[in-house]
Amino acid sequence: MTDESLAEGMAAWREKHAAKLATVTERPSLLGAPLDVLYAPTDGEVDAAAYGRDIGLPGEFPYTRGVYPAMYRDRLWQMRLYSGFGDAESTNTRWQFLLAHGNNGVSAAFDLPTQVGMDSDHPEAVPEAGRVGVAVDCAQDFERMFAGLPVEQMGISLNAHSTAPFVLALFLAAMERQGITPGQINGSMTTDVLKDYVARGTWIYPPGAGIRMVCDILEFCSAEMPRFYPLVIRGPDIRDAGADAIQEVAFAFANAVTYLENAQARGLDIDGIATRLSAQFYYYGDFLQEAAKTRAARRIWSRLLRDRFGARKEASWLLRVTASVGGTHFQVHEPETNIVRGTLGCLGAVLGGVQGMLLAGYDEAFDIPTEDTARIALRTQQIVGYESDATAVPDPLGGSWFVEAMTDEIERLVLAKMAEIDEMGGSVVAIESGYMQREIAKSAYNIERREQSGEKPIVAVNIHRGQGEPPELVVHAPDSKVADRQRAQLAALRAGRDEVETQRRLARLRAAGEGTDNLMPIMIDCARADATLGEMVDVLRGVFGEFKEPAL
Amino acid sequence: MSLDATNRTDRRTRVLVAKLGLDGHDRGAKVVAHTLRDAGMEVIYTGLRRTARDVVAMAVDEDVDVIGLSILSGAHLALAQQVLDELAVRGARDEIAVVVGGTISATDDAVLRQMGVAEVFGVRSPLAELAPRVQALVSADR
Repeated sequence: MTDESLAEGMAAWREKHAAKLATVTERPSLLGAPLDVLYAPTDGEVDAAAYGRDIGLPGEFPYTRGVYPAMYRDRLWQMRLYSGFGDAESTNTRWQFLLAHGNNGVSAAFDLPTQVGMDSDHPEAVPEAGRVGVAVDCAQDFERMFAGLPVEQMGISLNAHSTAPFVLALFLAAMERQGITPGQINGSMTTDVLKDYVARGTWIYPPGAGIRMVCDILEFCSAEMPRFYPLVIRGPDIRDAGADAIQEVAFAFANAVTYLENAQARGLDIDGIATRLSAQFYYYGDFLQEAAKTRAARRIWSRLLRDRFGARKEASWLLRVTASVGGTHFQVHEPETNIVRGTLGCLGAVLGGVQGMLLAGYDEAFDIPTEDTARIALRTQQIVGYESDATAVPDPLGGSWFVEAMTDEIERLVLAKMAEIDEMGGSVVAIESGYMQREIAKSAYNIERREQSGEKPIVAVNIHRGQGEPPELVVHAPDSKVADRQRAQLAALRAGRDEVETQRRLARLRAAGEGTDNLMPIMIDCARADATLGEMVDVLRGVFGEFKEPAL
Repeated sequence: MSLDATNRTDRRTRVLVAKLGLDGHDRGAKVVAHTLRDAGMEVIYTGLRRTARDVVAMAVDEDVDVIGLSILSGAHLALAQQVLDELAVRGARDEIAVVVGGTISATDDAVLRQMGVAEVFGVRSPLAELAPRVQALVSADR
């Protein structure tokens, strides 16, 4: 078929079916614009040059079809459940359970005091200690949390956010006591602090200090932890705060640009650090478009690293992606239906070719998962992985006119938004001026209105509502004794340690904060002397100050 | 009706939307603030990580009618109690109604109301009902 006859054919088809096409249900796309009813090869015959340039082959630039040549035929993604609650012992028990059921890694959820750098005995920390994650105050907590686990054989992701450098220091000091070196640790960390100002709200210091510490970690880990990916560029927090998929990728990548520019300004070699970065995104129910988003993200990333940052090694160009499934996609009404929503999100991630996945328990809208809901979340991933043919070939959606069109369109819109932020002066300006936060709040309001009006259908919520009230879920009961136990442990720790030595090392951390030395080795030294998370965070607060939220 | 009360009825309803504790999820708080503003109310948003003392001091200074607490971390019982206590300390318990929104089970909904919380908005509370329900608290007060 020639280009002309194809275009004519499409026009004739549209005209012939015009009456029907005018009355179809409108489907908003992930991009905000309504979806067309049909996608076809309007560019005519497949152009081999364009295919090679934009799509290519799996494991090859621009990695649209995946980062590895055989993808899941070689090995499946890392299956993890974001998990942790109470204290080190209760978290250790849950992890033993998950590993026994086939999880090949753990993804540590920390409680809010740990995420904002407060010890469990801080007055504001008490009602939150051990509630949404595990309470961590000192190296000993990590020793107990990982007791008896095959640390060198498993993937470990530490989701500490703003306090990532401190948490890593405590973790490494604990591992050292068990004879494990940093080089033996395989895993990742959510060190991306900029997204905390954008969306997550667990910030501490102003962005400048946050970026410096991210660069410290990048430098430290590139040298000492070859199996560890310390900088996961995070979209999920941005998406779940109400952003659309374009904002999710564009804001996350704009933040990545800031880290890479700062790292280069410090003199770090781009090829030395690029492989330490990976990305994470949310996967909701529009799984074909979420898959397209992942393909577009990889294409953008490879060109960004090669062309803008001058990376020369192939390994620097490819973007490994971890999927988050759950969040605001999961509903409170008829919560067991979230198992199906989780399956759709999982499919989108797998068809998009991700390297890791965190799938939430179906009770996520209520509380942290029980053993049962955690098990079902893992089984969902295993069923998609082992029983379906979504894993049979790399990029099974490649060549779908719809998916290729969405991939191109998402790429175009993300690049436009990134350019907008560049013009503003970069992501720090976009954060300090409140631009990103306002954009997300606006999008969240629009989404809420669309969902409440039924324009965006949600089964059992705004269409086909069931009779009666939603059943009360069986939720995991928070352990109110956690704060007391942590307080007792802290008292014993402070009484038992060499106080003069601990204070001497904390003073060195303060001095290093005022200078330009890499803070990581000094923090690890503090952790070895049983300095607590809160003590280290406070010492640097004295140097860096605190972030002030822009008024919205 | 006293003169003073008449004056208060004439003015626009003032609401302080507050994030309490360490929870940084403010999507719901911002959607609520936006919705109440669209309904003609004056809305002040505290920003993140405020203490009960900060929130009540702000509420009294700004002379609001209602404090709306948005709590998604699960710590709603403890945090709502702190705000109610702080209001009592400041002698503003009768002037300012407290409402709570978030992931709240039916059991905790009842407990919150027993504690003295005037309204509880669970996940997916209809936006259209939000302003009328808040307004009803203010009108009932007068």
